[in-house]
Amino acid sequence: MKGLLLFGGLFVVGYGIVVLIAFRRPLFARIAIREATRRPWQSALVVAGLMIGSGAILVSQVIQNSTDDSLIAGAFQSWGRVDLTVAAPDNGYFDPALAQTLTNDPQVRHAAAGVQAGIELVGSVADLDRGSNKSFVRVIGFDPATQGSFGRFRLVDGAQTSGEDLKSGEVLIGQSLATAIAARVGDHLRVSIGQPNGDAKTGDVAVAGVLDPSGPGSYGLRPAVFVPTETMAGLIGTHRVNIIRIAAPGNGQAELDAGHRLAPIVVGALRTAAEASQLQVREAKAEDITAARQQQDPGNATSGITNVLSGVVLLAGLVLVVNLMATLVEERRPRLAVLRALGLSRLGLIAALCTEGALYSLVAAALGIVPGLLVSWALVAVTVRGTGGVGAGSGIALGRDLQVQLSVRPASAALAIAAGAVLTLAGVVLAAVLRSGMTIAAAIRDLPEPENMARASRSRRVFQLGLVVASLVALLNPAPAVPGVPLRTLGGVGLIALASVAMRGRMPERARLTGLGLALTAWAFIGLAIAFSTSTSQSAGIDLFLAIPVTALGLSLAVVSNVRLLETIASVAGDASGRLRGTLRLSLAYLIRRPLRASLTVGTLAMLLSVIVLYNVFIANFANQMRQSDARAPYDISVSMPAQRSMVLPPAIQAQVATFLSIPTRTYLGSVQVSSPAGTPALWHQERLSLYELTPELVRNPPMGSGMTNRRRQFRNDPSAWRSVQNDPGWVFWTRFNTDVTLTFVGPSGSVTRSVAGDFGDPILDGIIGSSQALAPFGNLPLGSTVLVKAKPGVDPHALATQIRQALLPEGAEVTAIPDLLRQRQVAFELFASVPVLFMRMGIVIGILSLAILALRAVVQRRRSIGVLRALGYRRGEVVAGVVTEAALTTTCGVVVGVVTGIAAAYLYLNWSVTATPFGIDVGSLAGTLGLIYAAVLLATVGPALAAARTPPAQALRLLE
Amino acid sequence: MITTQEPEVARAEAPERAIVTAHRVRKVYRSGTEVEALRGVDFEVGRGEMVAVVGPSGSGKTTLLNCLSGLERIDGGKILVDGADMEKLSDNARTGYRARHMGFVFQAFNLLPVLTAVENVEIPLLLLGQRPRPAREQAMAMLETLGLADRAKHRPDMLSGGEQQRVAVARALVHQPAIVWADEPTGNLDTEGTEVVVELLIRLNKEGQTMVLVTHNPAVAGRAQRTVRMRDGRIEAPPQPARSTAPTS
Repeated sequence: MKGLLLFGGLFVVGYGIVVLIAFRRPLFARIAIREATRRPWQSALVVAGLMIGSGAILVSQVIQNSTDDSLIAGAFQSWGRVDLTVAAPDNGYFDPALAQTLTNDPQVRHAAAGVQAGIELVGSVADLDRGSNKSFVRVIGFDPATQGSFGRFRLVDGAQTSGEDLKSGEVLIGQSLATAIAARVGDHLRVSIGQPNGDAKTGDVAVAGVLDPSGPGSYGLRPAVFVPTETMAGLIGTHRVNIIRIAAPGNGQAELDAGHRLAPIVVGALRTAAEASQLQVREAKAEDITAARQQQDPGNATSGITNVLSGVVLLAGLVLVVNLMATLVEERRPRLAVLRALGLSRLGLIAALCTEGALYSLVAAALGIVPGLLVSWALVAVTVRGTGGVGAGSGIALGRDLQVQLSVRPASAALAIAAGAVLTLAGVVLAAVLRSGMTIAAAIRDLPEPENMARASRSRRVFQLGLVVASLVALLNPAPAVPGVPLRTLGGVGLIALASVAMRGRMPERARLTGLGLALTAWAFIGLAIAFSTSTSQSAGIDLFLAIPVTALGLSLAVVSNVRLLETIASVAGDASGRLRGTLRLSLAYLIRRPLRASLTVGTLAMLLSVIVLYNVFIANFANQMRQSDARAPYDISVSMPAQRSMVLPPAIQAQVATFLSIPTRTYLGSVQVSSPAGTPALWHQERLSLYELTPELVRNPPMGSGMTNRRRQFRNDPSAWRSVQNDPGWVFWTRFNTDVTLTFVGPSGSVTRSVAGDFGDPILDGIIGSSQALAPFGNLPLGSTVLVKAKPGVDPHALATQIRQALLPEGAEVTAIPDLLRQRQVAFELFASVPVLFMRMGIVIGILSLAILALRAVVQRRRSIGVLRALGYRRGEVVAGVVTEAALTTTCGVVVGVVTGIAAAYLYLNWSVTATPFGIDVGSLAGTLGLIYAAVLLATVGPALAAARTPPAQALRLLE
Repeated sequence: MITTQEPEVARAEAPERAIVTAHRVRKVYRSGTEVEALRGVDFEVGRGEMVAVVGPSGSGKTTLLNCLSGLERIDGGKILVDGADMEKLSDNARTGYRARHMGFVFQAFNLLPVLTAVENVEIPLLLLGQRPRPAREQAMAMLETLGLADRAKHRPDMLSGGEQQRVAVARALVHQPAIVWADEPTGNLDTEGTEVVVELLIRLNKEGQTMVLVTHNPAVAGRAQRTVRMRDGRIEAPPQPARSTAPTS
């Protein structure tokens, strides 16, 4: 909303000024409209180039909206009518009469819509009829007598029930559980529920119905079995309960508000009951929704990455805008100079240019919504959803079956249009200001601008001094006002640019621009190295994404300034063909005639390509990790038994097992606070986590080896991290490690905080790994086990896994062949990484569009020159070859710079963040991307080239723009 | 008819009521090496006078015109136009001064291709802040004066070269400037077009319009009241008394 207010305000002000100009100077508006409509196709191309701004912003907004709205909808759906919960911190049992106490309380009765005593546990479910099972299933005990207040269950066949009609031993199951175990109505299930001592409570029930995933049937949004309290008592051996669910009246925000008012009433009502002293009243639904709204989810990288990448694409789009407008101004330079000669001031010229630019910007911003929506849809449909839902990897959505739905808020579309138009207009103004300075006499005759030796004006000197001071402040400021903003890098960039401006005219231009480019590149990498060595992952990530554009533009400048070296190659080629030499020389000459502008084109392409290369390396690196893990994994099969502390296999299967490792595992289901960086305030959210005990055997033989994927910076090496986790109860490993994280759980004696030392890329032990001392506060949680099995040589792990699954079916064990786990993880990562890759491919369209537009403008601008060349004897094919060669040279410069920048950035990043990882690049994928780029560039430029070649020389010579 | 004989270089005395006075004007171009385009030029134009500047290519004719009109800064000397020291004016002030007091005719016509003839002509009036309706009426009147009323709604690409240049002349005169600068006004025209435009310029000069024109064409230069010859950035001979000129046709 703040963004909409800001950009909406800027839009109103910016376009208000333009409208005012148009009213006061109708001539400007007239020229703008005539120029725009004179060559509709060329204007359409310009608009297409400018559409990127609003498109990129909309994509970022829609991904954010979709994630937010899905999370919020998920939180509402997950809790259903339940607003408050009353439970012991350790999830322990208590007297269900407390629920009756609440129901009888007049104040509660008046303020609440329903009160229900229930059970919430985690267990395993095996379908004895289908031979399938599922672990980590939520076992939800409900009271049919009070269920009506929380909504009737809706079955997939359309029937509805509150559970009164269920016979003893009958249960309802959620649709996701039914799908997972292929259960049908009438099937017999064995439910195993873990106990703190590791002796599971087990019982058999029958499926009375499969629930539609709506209303109370989606409670928890996880595979679940809904058990009436009487049947539940049979399963767990007690009539006591471990939760009281309370519904507040109303819907949506009104319901949350009512819940908020109800909470103190419930606390007051429970104060009189002695047994309630240990119980906590939580506004469970409101907390989850608040967490979703505030996105306090450090592991939810999708939206963050999308925002950063949107920024990169937007930056590329803005460079295109500036480049495009500069080209248009250049093309019309003689006409504009005439206006200046006739008495139009420089400010007036800028206003005239901005009036036309504003027209293009507005149309482009509105039309940019269409590609923005298409890309958003593709991202949500193909990638985000493919990764398994919101917050893939970790976060508040984890543990819920949640699909991201495309969500486009009107405010987001408005923001995209306003921000896209404003930013594009800003680019137009910048280009107009930069290009409006001209020597009128030279410009009228379209002659090059003479060198200006006059001293800079006072206002210019004051402006430059101001920039120097601002850059110095940014460079030397030890504590940035906004954490994560790479002021140091920006300050250095400012100083280098100003130093280069100061050197103008004092040294050869080529040397000056080369020096500027190399200095920018060096500074970007120095800044990156400093950021990596001193900051957290998030701020270093911002430095990385700032370093990439600076490096790409800097290197582009250095390369373009020295592209004349290629003339040597041209001269070699010239030995074979004078015509070829002439063609190449001309292309090179045009390319380097405006090195800054050519650098912007090359830099745009390089910037986008470098991000693609960066992710290419990340993906290749991950694949390498997986291959290594696969090769060194000492176990073949993982058996998860959340309710059983030991695994007993039939002798026939034991004979096929070489060795196995049993890891005591407890299942935590409750509130978790993820603080990253450590100490940062974070919201609580509900989560299920497996807690693995770091036994001596596990230390000796960890399933993925002892080499870590990520490690907290304070540990010099992997062994020191291992030692801390073994000996210091404050440290644990966490699979979803995100550098500098602390986790806070709720234990029976209060909060338990653990610092994360690192992780070792382990998809097998997915959760927290800690010493017995570290996990001691969770001794009351159900004890199960995770057993890792090594098959004897010659035994097929998949076949053995199937046998174990069948043997342990009644225990509800989840048995997986480890190679399958690794592959699943790789597929998930590739899908996850495809988000930025897809995004950058959208960005590459900008680069190609940029080249196409510039090729077209170049042809328009050079019609007379082309006419002269044709008159001098250039053949049509040579004209085409010249234009295409120029685009191909620009592309090649962009490709070289982009690949170098991407590989260098990836190397630095991986060296900083990952240990013991071989550096690799997916050459095939990269070659495919580059091939597509060249093909697209060829397609985009051959049209204008052919048009140029077809113009009769005599006509081209007569043409005056 | 336009005479084709080599014009006699004018030897006019400095006009008593000079509208343009240039004193020791220097202009240096720096592009790798320094090229002194104007080397201390002294020059004056009297009110109502029509002066032709002639000379070989590279002699500094156009540079002199650009400097006198304020399109380019000078590196030394002084230029007064109607009493205003051009070098002391800021860029904005010079621009305003040009808009009010000067008109320009260029060799390549330099009409805005997106505007019609009448729209091109009214540009100076609109830039001076005149309201659209009277500006249009004034522009139409000027086109009528130049015999282009029937071409008013045509765009430049629909006009012949001569017509385009007459539109350009109309644009230069529409706001009644004190002086009109014409840089090779007939350079892109055929003989017939040249004759029409030159006749037009002479007629306007006779009506009191001050003009300075740069030309290669001796016939055109010969029609001016005074001709100044330039060579190597200098005016070749000291000013001599003016001779009376009259149209030959």
